[in-house]
Amino acid sequence: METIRKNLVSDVRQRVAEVVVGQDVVVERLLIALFTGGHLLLQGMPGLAKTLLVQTISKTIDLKFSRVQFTIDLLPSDILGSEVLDQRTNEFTTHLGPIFTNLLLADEINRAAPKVQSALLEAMQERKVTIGNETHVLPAPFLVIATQNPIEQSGTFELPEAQLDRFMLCHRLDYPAAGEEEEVLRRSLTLGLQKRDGGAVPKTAFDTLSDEIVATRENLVEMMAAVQEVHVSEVFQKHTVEVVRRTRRHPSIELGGSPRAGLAMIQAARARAFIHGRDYVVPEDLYALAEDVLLHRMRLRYEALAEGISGVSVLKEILSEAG
Amino acid sequence: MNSRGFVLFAAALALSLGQAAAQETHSGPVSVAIGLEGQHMVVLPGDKFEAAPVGDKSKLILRVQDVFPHGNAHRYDLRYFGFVPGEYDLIQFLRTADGKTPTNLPPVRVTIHGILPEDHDGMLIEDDDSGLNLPGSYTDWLIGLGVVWLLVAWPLFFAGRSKGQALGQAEEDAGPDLAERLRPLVEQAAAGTLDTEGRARLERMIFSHWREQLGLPEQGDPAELHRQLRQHKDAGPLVRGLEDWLHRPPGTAAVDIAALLEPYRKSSLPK
Repeated sequence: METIRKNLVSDVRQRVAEVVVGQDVVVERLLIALFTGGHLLLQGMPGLAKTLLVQTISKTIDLKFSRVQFTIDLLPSDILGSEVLDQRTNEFTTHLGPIFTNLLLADEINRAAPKVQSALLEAMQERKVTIGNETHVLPAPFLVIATQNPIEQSGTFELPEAQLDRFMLCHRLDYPAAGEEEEVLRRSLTLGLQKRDGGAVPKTAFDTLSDEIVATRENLVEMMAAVQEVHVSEVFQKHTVEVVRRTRRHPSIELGGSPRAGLAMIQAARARAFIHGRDYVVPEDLYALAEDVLLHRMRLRYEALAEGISGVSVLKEILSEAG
Repeated sequence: MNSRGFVLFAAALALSLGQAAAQETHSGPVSVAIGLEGQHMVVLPGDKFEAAPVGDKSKLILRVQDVFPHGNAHRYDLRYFGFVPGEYDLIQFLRTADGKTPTNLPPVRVTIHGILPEDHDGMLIEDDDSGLNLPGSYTDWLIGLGVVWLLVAWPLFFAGRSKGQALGQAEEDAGPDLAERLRPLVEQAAAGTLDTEGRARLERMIFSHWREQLGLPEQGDPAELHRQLRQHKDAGPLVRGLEDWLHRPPGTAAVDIAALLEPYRKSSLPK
């Protein structure tokens, strides 16, 4: 098991590093989502290789992958599926939508209308979909990785708190460092052309993705089981509850973490400990994951926002308070 | 009537009609109060006239609201208002196209009268002497009140502030410091009687203590701060030892917690 873990983690990191520069933390978060079956929301400016990252991960593990570009005119049936009349038999047959996959990339989730977001998030929670009178169970593992752009708010529908809570983690991607950005440019110079049908198009990083898998679905299931064995001490549970409860008591916060935040923290900490080769969680896991687990579940008061207080600073204050 | 007689008759008739036309609308001087606009319709022979330019010292302002053809003459709708009581000839406020005052026209008189009675002494508000008659001027009183405020209110303000500070200091002095709050937890941990809640508090307080000791920023990355503590030559052994004791699966780590926490049982915490 230890060998498989080391191989998978290092192989995934290496495969991602071949096409994406930097972003080690987001790779770790993607693995945490994979190992726990928790859904992940990636938030970042355009051009930070969010989609490329997810596609790379999906190709390293033998998982069925679908991608849906969310737009304003998307309908729930475009994702979930619908009943279609078969004219030969004159009977309705069920056409399953792209949600019937292992890894679903919901690109720019905040561009879809609320009814589409609700349909997806309901499926995320219950892991089953009802089409017509029939209920269909989603494949296992089932994981949604959604992306959203935090700046373009025109024509978007912000996810409400109850729906954000469905995401185990919300990771905010930052711009790469100067050296990393130079490396991105250097790599792009060597991509060249892709010739086909007598013509040619410039190659992109997507064309360089290897189809060779580094882990099977069985390997992934074994690791998911191993994550469930990671020891979580009572003291760690106390720390988690204390931090979550402090988000509800803080004067700058209107809405704090839900009990689901504590559950997400424990699961994510287990997976992180596993990735770091430990069979027990430590407070560092809590500190490292607090922003991704808690920040999207917190809503600051209007007065705090008016004073220029940020959610990050409030969370750091909560984490730094003595017992 | 011969032709010469007919010409004389026509001239006399035209003159009398012109006079009658010029006078028909100003049979008597019109009186308008100061500041109110007056109107006067009048037919004047000759070319079209304009209102004279207004100067800073003008006692009356005239404007030509409208002009209508009236045979060989023009009918004028004149609007005016005066600033100084008196009788005025509106003709004096008209100008020909080349900027000259018209001549050979009968006066068009208007009167501007004041609002107040002529015997009014000019005082618009009567001075009421029934108020409080205090010695000295208003300025003197303002200065006096300022001095009183400085002498009385300012010391009171400082007294309240120092009292608040003293209270805060007293509260601070009265509350147990970190060492005092930590010691009972350490004692119970060494004795093996510390419950889960106490252990969690103990770990958080040890982190807090060392973060303060090492001057690590509160707004820094908490995970990074924790990594720095784990690697620190003094704090590291304790933080890692606590982790082994508190977080490893039971029975997988042998930690002498009493020896580990021995420095924290003293009155002053290790630095």
